[in-house]
Amino acid sequence: MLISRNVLKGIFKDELPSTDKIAEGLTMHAFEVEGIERVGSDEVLDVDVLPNRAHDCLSHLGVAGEISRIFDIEQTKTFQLLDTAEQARDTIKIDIENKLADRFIVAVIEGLDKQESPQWLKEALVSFGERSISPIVDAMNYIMFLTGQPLHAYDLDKLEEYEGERRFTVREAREGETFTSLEEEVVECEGGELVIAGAKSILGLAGIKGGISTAVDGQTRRIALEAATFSPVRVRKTAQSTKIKTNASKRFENGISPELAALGIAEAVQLLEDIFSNAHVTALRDEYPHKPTFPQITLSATLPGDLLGVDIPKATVQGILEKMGCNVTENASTFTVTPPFERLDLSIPEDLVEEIGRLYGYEHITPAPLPDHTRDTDTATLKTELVLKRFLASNGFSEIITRAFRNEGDIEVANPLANQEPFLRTELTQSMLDILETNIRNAELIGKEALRTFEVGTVFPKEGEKKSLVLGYAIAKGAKKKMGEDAFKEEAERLLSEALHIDEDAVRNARVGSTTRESSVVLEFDFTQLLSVAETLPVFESSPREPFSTFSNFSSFPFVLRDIAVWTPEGTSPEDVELTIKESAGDLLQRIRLFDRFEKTCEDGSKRISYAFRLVFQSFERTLSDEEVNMYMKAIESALTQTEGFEIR
Amino acid sequence: MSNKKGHLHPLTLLTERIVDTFTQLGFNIAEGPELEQEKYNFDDLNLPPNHPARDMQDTFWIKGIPHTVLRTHTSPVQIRAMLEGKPPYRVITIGRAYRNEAVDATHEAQFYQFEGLVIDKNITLAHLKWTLETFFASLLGGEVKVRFRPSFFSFVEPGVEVDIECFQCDGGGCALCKSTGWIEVMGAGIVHPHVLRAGGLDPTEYQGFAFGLGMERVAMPMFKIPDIRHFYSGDLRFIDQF
Repeated sequence: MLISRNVLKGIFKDELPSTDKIAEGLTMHAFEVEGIERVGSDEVLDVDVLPNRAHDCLSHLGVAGEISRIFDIEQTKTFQLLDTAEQARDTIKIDIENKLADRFIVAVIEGLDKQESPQWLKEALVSFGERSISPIVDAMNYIMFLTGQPLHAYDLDKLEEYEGERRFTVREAREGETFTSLEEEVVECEGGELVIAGAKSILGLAGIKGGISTAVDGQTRRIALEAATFSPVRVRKTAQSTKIKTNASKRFENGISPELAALGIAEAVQLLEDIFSNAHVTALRDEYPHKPTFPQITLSATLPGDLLGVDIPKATVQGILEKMGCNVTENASTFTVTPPFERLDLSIPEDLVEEIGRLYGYEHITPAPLPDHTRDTDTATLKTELVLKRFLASNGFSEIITRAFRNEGDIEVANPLANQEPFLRTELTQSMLDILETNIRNAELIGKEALRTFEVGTVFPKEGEKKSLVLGYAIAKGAKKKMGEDAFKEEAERLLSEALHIDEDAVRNARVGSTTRESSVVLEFDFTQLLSVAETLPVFESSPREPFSTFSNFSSFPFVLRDIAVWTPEGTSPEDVELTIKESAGDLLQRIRLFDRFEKTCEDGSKRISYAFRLVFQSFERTLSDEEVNMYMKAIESALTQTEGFEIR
Repeated sequence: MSNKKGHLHPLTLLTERIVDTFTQLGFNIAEGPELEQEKYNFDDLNLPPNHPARDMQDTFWIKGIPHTVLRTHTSPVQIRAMLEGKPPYRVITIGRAYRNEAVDATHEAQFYQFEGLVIDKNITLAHLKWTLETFFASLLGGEVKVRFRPSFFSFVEPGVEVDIECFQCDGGGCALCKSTGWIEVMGAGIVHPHVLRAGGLDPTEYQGFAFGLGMERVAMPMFKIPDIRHFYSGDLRFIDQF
């Protein structure tokens, strides 16, 4: 909700705190202020009004109330209970069918001569993120943003008259009825939409948008002004089915008090009388079949302290409630509290505790240690999962987590996103095979000759969701040592048996899939079954964890591989050679991996060691050319040759 | 000779740390299904049908199975924990949830959540503050200040947003905390009496707090991961860094 400082200034008696201070106060005690913007001569706060405060705070009066309480400053304008003064009521007929509205007020205002919207009004609308249209419409919009009560103005002379009455019926649309909105959008009703109808046709979508047939324009001299309270559920459904959402519908959807309609009408009449010197009310009818009962809440005096964990003096509690506009009666050990009419969100004592806590300030809460508590034995599988994952990682397996949606399966989502697979996966093997295939292309960059991966995830076969475990193996193209499906099965099942303390037969029985694709192997196990056959599961142990590493971006440009082998004197360590290479290679050497080593005894009895390295070059900015990499290799070769006893092979 | 070390996914590293800390604080682990009943996901958590807040949940409904959803949060596990056991409760749950949202650098349709629930005779927001300060201290090292701001979630009342002191600039102001010195990390509050009743408890006898955070949301600044889509890419160039 965009809140204008200029408009606020008109609501307060004295000087307001700075906009920054207001933002901080609101954020810590009411709603987060997401930003402050300068708009012309105004400062505008972007206030994130919480969903449960849409009843009263999608308005300047509501937010002003919060500011008043937080900073203890007086307002000149507040929410008030008002009575409407009916006049010439027989010229207006209002029918509300099926309790589709709680209240419907119509005021006829005449004497609206040609005028311009005053400058302050135009500027206020700009601050609200709206634009000026015409003085009557501007006034309606302004009152909505000021009070939270949406209003609608009908050109009186375009309204059908029937036997001396203007008629307003709040009802459901019938199938096939049509309606043309102010924006000239034609709505064909399916039946059931909440509408306001005149003597003959639909005048507007209730609480959403008015119709073009009665639209206010430059010729309008008399209006029928409507302030009503429509059924929140019906407005929401109509807005959804017609796909028309407005500032007005947003307020009705969340529900507002029917008492607000009287305030809205009164403010609107006042404003129109200010703008149009001859404006005056000639008729007013208020259809208000059932005044709401204002709930009384019994608040135990100890409840705030009991829930917040901080002692707040009884007098402070009462003070806060009264400042909110509550009627408070103190009893022996309780308060009887009647919330103000606009606070539809307050119905149980805990709601009041929240008001007290946030206005008193949560910063007053000092932390209190949890009492002693004996843990129950854990039946959950998460800890076992964690122990298994650690074990697999220490045996060379890296963990993958994949998305759950697929193009086929047993369980289908009724409302998938566009371009999204609609089924839930029934196995993890297919995605692991795909992952191995993409990753093996980067094997050298990752620095591994063989990739070992695993995933534990939920799968959704028709029998019911369960956890599945996959282990994957893939070998780089041209790698010498390749493990076949059987060998990998043996390695994997041995590891699972060791990790979970179950014998290899039981592990084998839990295997539900074994798939080879080119040089990748993926094994799938029923994880739920694995855990159920273990007699004693491994224990999750607390241990000092290493500090977390942070992520460094990787390049999307292709990498270049080069090999280099060098003879070195006996006693040379591979790290020495690596260091020489790294120091001379330049910044684009991303990885160096020792892949071969052998010793040779020479004719003269001395020993030499040959080390062979795989080098990976890659740039963050461009694809590397052979010529460029050749340059780096020359620099490396030169550095190696210059080292005593080294000879390039 | 070859690089034999495997790597755990950052979400698992975070999970380990959470389980470790909370086990020491006396918490048990609760679990629940990802395909969840509408009742546990919404109604029992004080979100009745036709409530606008329910619309905002962007829920995945299941074809052919009425009143069933992919859970939109892990909160239904709290209801199950209350129904399955007897109070006092001290549980955490970590699991996947789903929202029907367009995917971009900060939003995924599936994500991990971590939730905690403590219900006993006299549990207050003061206990919540202590629990969270202890948790974040173990996660980030050193003392971490926590503050509460007013917020709204249907299953707690009072409801708060929890901020921690920015761990990148120690409260001085930087890009991560948008110069405020604080980072928003989770929602929390005192469990709503309707929820307690749905869990079979008498709100006049038992009370407590609940909190929940999105794991990726916390992992991203901690591990300096710029794009949420990395978590589900299956790319070892990402995973092998941790």
